Order: sequence, then structure tokens, then C-alpha cells
Amino acid sequence: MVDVTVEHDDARTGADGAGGYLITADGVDKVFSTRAGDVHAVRDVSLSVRHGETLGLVGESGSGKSTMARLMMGLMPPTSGTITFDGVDLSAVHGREMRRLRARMQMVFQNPYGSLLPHYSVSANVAEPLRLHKRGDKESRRKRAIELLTMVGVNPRFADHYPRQFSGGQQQRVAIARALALEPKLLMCDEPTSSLDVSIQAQVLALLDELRTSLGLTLVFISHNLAVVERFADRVAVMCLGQVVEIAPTEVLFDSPRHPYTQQLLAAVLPVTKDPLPAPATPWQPRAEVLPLREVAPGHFVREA
Amino acid sequence: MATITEEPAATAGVEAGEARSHWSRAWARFKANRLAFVSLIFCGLLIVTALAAPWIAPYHFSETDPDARLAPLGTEGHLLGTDLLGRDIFSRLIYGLRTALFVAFGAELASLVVAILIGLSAGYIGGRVDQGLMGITDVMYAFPSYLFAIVLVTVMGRSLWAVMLAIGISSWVTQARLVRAQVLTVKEREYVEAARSMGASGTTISLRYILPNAIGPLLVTTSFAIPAAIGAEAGLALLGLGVQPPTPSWGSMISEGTSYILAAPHLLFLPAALFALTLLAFTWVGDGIRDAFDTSGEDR
Amino acid sequence: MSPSLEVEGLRTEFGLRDRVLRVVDDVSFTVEPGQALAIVGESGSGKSVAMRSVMRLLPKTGRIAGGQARLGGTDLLALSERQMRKVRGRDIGMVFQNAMEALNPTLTLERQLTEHLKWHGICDHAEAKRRAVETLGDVGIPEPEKRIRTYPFQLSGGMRQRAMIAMAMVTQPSVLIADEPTTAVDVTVQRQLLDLLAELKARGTGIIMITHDLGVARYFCDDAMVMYAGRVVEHGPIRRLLSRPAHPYTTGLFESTLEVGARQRALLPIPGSPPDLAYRPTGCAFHPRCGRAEERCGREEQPLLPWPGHGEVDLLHAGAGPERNAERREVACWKAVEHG
Repeated sequence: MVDVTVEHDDARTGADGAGGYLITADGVDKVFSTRAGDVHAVRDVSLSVRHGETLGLVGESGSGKSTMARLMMGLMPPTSGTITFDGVDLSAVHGREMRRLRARMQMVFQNPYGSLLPHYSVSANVAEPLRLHKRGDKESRRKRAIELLTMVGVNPRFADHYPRQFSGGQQQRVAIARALALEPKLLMCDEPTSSLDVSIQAQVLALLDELRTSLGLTLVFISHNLAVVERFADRVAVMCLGQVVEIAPTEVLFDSPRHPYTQQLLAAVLPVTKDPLPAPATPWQPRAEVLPLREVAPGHFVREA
Repeated sequence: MATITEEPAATAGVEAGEARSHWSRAWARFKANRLAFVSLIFCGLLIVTALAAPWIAPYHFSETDPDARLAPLGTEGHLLGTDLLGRDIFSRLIYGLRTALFVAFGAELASLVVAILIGLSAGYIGGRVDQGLMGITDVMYAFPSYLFAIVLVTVMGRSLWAVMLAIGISSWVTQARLVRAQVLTVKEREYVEAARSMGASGTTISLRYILPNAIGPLLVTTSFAIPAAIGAEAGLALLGLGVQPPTPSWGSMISEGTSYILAAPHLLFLPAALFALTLLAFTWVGDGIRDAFDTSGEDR
Repeated sequence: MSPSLEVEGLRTEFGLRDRVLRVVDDVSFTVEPGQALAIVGESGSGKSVAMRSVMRLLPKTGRIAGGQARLGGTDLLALSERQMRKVRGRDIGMVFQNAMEALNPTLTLERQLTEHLKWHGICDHAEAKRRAVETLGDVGIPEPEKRIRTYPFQLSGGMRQRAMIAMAMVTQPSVLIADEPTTAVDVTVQRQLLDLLAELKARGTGIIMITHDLGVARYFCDDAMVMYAGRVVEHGPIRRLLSRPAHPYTTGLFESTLEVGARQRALLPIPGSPPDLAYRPTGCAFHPRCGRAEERCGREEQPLLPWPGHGEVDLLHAGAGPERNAERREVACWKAVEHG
């Protein structure tokens, strides 16, 4: 099943050489065994994210993008293939060492209320990762939590309130503050604005944009919203049925998509100021087998269709 | 409940209210329920009385007054009368209360501990551990509880501990299932995954993240299990399976009382009334707790 | 020809423990046959409650405090519950965001589709079944004769959404209320579903679409009504509204919306968040978040007024065809009305 062709090996190494990457997935497969049989959630995915870069991961439900996020975070082991974070193979580290590594990669979830502890105040929520990693004493942790809350735009006056007392947008700010508490290098954002209202979505995106510049964060930004990814990512990977069908620098992908699925996805978007693109006459039918990924232009990889 | 929003809105009259935890909200709702609150005060008084029984009761429960057998209500020195052996009814009621509450709280506390241990391990670890523990639980569930009590009392003798164990054993089974079900739900919450991604260990997750959020419904069932256990204690005593006489139990007092219903009706009615009142008060407290934790109809 | 739905001065209140919240305040609109109206707003804007008021499907704490909703001469708000039950499903259909909660998981599609027709006494069983199969085919469910015997959970998300639309379509209602019908589905499915609803529109059904997605509104609807904190802030033809928003909130929504292929357009978030209705700001409810607000905005209630005001002509669209009622634009902002 793992199909390591010369072409797709290039996707990993790229121009900067292996040293420029913070996180790399190489030929990753993930199979879930269920009562109804095996589900191949991720197939032959090779991705890499440079230091300070934002990689957008787009796809529809069931494309495997969220599974990919959890694999890259080391929250579940891949069935085959390797994931390397900052030069360390995640499958080789366990227990305490793994937990230490996780401090450097943090996650922002789709549902902020669900990801915050309901029985902790927001400052306690933000201080929780520091407490888990035994950083500082209670007083200094609280002080740091308040700094972080201020940084993400939550009034410290409300530090002792509980998550449920905040609006969705403010909850997501708290979740971002918590993710930043351990000063991670990588921020994995899984649909961070999908559950928010339009006007609030824009605020949270603006905040993330500001933070990634000021803190020099590396981001993996997962979304089904193409407009958000176009605005936010330096490079974009399109996933469909567990496979990456196309990876390219953002402008290239949006201006000249090569894979029929990417084209179909872009045609499905309903713009606010223009008429939509014509829908393709015959929708693309995915193939059962895994076809090779080819480099069609520097940094632009397309899977055969 | 006001929601904290962005600053401009906040300065425009959105009051965020005070910081209030889950528990303080539940307590506020409980206090607002007058029947439950009065019942809680009554239950508190019962507990204090039971604890202070040796100082409150004018006589020891087995102390007999041969000159005043079957004394009626209002007798000098025996305000609530005496029984066939001349024992002070008031004192025996207080000691009976002590027995009832000791058995009920002891049994429920023990069953709660066992239920949490088993339910949490089964739910959190899952797999074989889950199958094994739930298998045992199911076997226990299928076993008739009174039969179990009879066996236990026969083996261990009619002691306070045997009664406590007999009641506790039939109670932990349902509790453990509830804990497991709760754990399975809470385990899927995003904050548990968030905790893992922050680097929390399994023990930390199960004790600090899962348990506190799984405990609300458990508290509700426990609050209903207590009056049930008080009833069970009296029931066992009524069947002659309760604590060894002369230690008083309302059940055995009621059972004795029925023999003298015409000659001395207060022997029956006093313990029966106190029993009913106690049961009701504890049940109302349970109702109050259930409503306090029921957040349906609120924002979240 | 189906009748049009005319809602006038609708007010809906929710009773809380200690006070009454006005969740929908003085909402008026008309949906003509074959027309689609988008109701745009964020959570808490009252858009869903307004539609549930028309359907008379409010939770126990909700109460319609005033207004009318006329469908072909009958005021729906004045009907008894028994009479209303005949209207629901037959004259007004509803499509929800999540098909899983709208379809009964214990009944096959056949039962759900045909019972609908039989309850309303529209036809007998054989005819009902024929129509059910036909409608399932219409919504693009392959092998409808076979699929009609399946249960909702046996279908994929997109198919389930189609089945729900089929259920709303089978009685050929005069008006269809669609509450975020495509929010839970993938983009590639979204367009197919909208095209499906468009066919219904072409057959003369008036459609009200509740949405927060301006792209969906533009693609599908003729008119749009923007709601904020329970009131209508702007109302008019969707394309004009998007090419030249009049109310600062509409402008804000537009500028908060990212669009594919518009990388250069600035992302300008609206500060703050929608108000808690219990603490509704005085005057124009949007003024605390509005960049153009003046002292007057917090003082005066803002009625919906024709726009452009003072006899000005909307130059962009002057002479855009025969005078249609819906050509009118209205906005609840004195600044927009006075200064354009």
C-alpha cells in the first residue's frame, strides 16, 4: 500500500533540504478496524511543513484531514509510515518523553467550548498545560495565564469566570491562549473558526494571523473552507478519501488547479461578489487504487487521476 | 445568564455577572427550591441528632425501667412512653435513627467508592478490563439482593456491618454501571483529547478531567440511594434480618409495635411516622439535587 | 398559482424566569410564488425564531406577541393548533440543517413520505407511493424504488439531506422554509442541493432560506433580509444589497466574509459580538460595534426606511426593469438614509 515513488519523495525533501522542516509525514497510512470492516482513513500521505510556514489542509468530511492532524500530533500511531517532529521519530518516543514533545506542538480544536474544561475557570484552563508540565508555582502560572489571556484579547477582569459564561469567539480565544501557554513551535488548528459566526470568524482569523507573525509559529491549518485557507496558508494540500491529491503553493493551487478533484472543489464555491464557476459536466470519480503523485512544477505535486 | 462578549459590547451594557462555578450554580438552584432546602435542614438535624445520640437520649437504648412497662405518651420521665420491657421510646427512636443513618451512609459511601473504582477503570481502560469488570457486575446484578442479604447475615451474624454490606452490595452494581456510562460519554469530549494533546497522563486524565465531570449524575443517584438504604435497613429488620437486638432499629420497633397495636398504638405509630418523615425528607433532598444538576432549559 | 406569504409586524417573545425577551421585533416581509428570500443573520439574530413563529413551532417558553402571517388570505397566527397542523407539511414545508433530527430514524422513507400525503388526505396509498418514488427520483436519489424501503441512517449525509428535501417537496407546498439546509453538507453537495431547491422554486414554490452564508444567499435567492438582534436592519434585492450594502452591519458582514479568488480584498472583522438580548443596547442595537456610530445612534430607535432616501436614485441599478415590489430597498440606519 505504501507507494514510495521518486516523485513523491521530492514532496518531502523539497528545495530547503530536510533540515528546513519542523514536521514531516512520510508515507503515512492509517487503518481503523471497526465491526463493519477496515476503514482506510489515511493512505500514503507525505507532507512536510517548514519552520514558520503555514500549511493549509483542505478536504470534505471523510477526507481524512482530521485524522491526519491527530497522527501528526502523535495522538494516535500511524498503521505504517513515519512522522518526524523536529528530527524526532514520533513512533520512537513514549511516555514522559512523548509528553515533553507534545508541549512543543499544540492544538486548537473546532469546538472551543468542548475543548475547554467546564469545571475550571478560564485562567485555570490556560494555566493547565503549565501545571501538567510542572512549570512554575501556582502564583506564577496564574500570572502567565493572565498575560496570555491579555495577549489573545480576553479582558483579565474575567479571568476567574468559567468557559460557559463566554461567547463562542471568546472561548476560542481562551483555547488559543491555552495552546500558546507552553510556547509551542507548531500550532495545529483543526477547523478553528468553523463553529463561529461570520463576524467572529474574521476576528479569530485576524488574531491567529497576528500571533503567528509575532511568535514565529508554524501552523497546520485544517479547514473545509477554501476561502479561509486561501487567505491563510502559504502552501495547500488537498485531501480526498484519505489521499493527498494535490499540493502546491497557495496561489498556484487556486489559480491553476491541476487535479480534477481540486477543480471540482473550487467550482463548488459560491462567491459573494461574482457568479460561481460552471460546475464540471461529469464529476470526478475517485479510483480505488492509489496512483502516484507527480511533480508538475517546482513544489506543485498532483496525483494521477 | 449573560455572556461575556467582546469589549465594545461589554461596555455597552453587557454585564458578565460574577464568576460562578458549576457547583455554585447548582447550589444556587438547590437553595431556590424551598421544599428541598427545608428538607436539607431537617436531614441535617437528623444527622446531628444521630451523631449526638448518647448525649441527647435520656436513657441508654437497652436500659429498662421495670416500674414503667408500656407507659403511655406523656409519662413523667418517659415523654414518649416505654415499650414492653420498659425501655424509653424516645431514646430508642434516637438510637434507631443512628442505626438507620449509619447503615445507609456507610453502605452508600462504600458502594460509591467501589462503583467509582470499577466504573472508571472499566470505562476508561476499556477492552478486556471493561469486559471482565462488567461481567462481574452483571452477575451481581442478576443475584436477588434480599437473598444475598440472607446469606450474608447467616454467615456473618446479625451485625451492623453485615447489614451495611448486604445493602451496599446491592447498590454498587447500578452505580458502577452509571459511572461507566458517564465515563464513556465524557471520554469522548474534546477537552479530554485536548488534555492528551497537552501531555496529560492517563491517571491525570481519568481523575482530574473525567471523574469531576462524570460525578453529577452519580451524586443524584446516591442521594436517592440513601433513603432507599434507610428503607432497606428497616425492611431487613422487619424480616428479622436486621441488626442484633437490643440495638434498636426502626424496622424491629415497628415489627414489635404491631403486636401491641391496641394496647399501645404509639409503639407502632411513633417509629413508623419518624421513618416515613425521614424517608420523605431525604427523597426531597434527592429531588432538589437532581433538579439542581438538571441544566436542560438553560443556555448550557 | 400558489398564494404568497405575507408576514407583517411579527413579534415573538420568550419568557425567562424573571423577564420577557423580545427575540423577534416587528418583522415584515413577503414571499411571492417562485421567489426566494434569504434571511441572513448571525446566531441570536432571531432569524430561526421568526420562521418557527410562522410555522407555529415555538418552544413552550416562546409566545407570538403580535403580527400577522397571511398565506392566501388566512392568517396562520390566528389558526387553532388543529387547523395549523393541516397547514404544516401541506401548505408550508420545512427543511432543516440536520436531516438526522428531522427524519424519524425508526421509519422507512416510504412510511415517512407517504404518511405525509395520507395525513393531509391528498391521495390514497398507491398514488402516494407512486408520488414518493417519483419525488425521491427527482431529488437525485438513485434507484428510488429500492431506496424507498431503507431507513434514514442507512443513507449517507448528502442522501439524507436529499431525502428530507423530498419529504418537504412531496406535498408540493406553496412555501418552503429552509433553515440552513446546506450548512452541514460538503461544498460539492451544497450546490447540488441548491439546484434541487431551485427546481422547486421554478415550479412556483416560494422559498425562505435562513442562512449565514452570503455566497449561498447570492446564488439562490432573489431578495435578502438582514437581521440583527431580532430586528430587520436591511431588506432588498440580494445582488444590489451585496454590491452596495447600505447598513453598516451588512457592510461588516460582507467585509468579514472571505472569498475565494479575492486575496487582495481586506479582511475587516466587525469588533465585538452580537448582543445578549437581555441587555439589548438602546437605539440601534448595532451601534456599540459600529465604526460610524454617533451619539444619535444610541439614542434613537432606527425604523426601516426606503433607501436610497430623499428621492436619490440608486444609480447602479436605475431602470433595472419593470417596477416590482421587491425592487424597493429599505434600511434601518438614519446615516445611510440621510447621507447615502
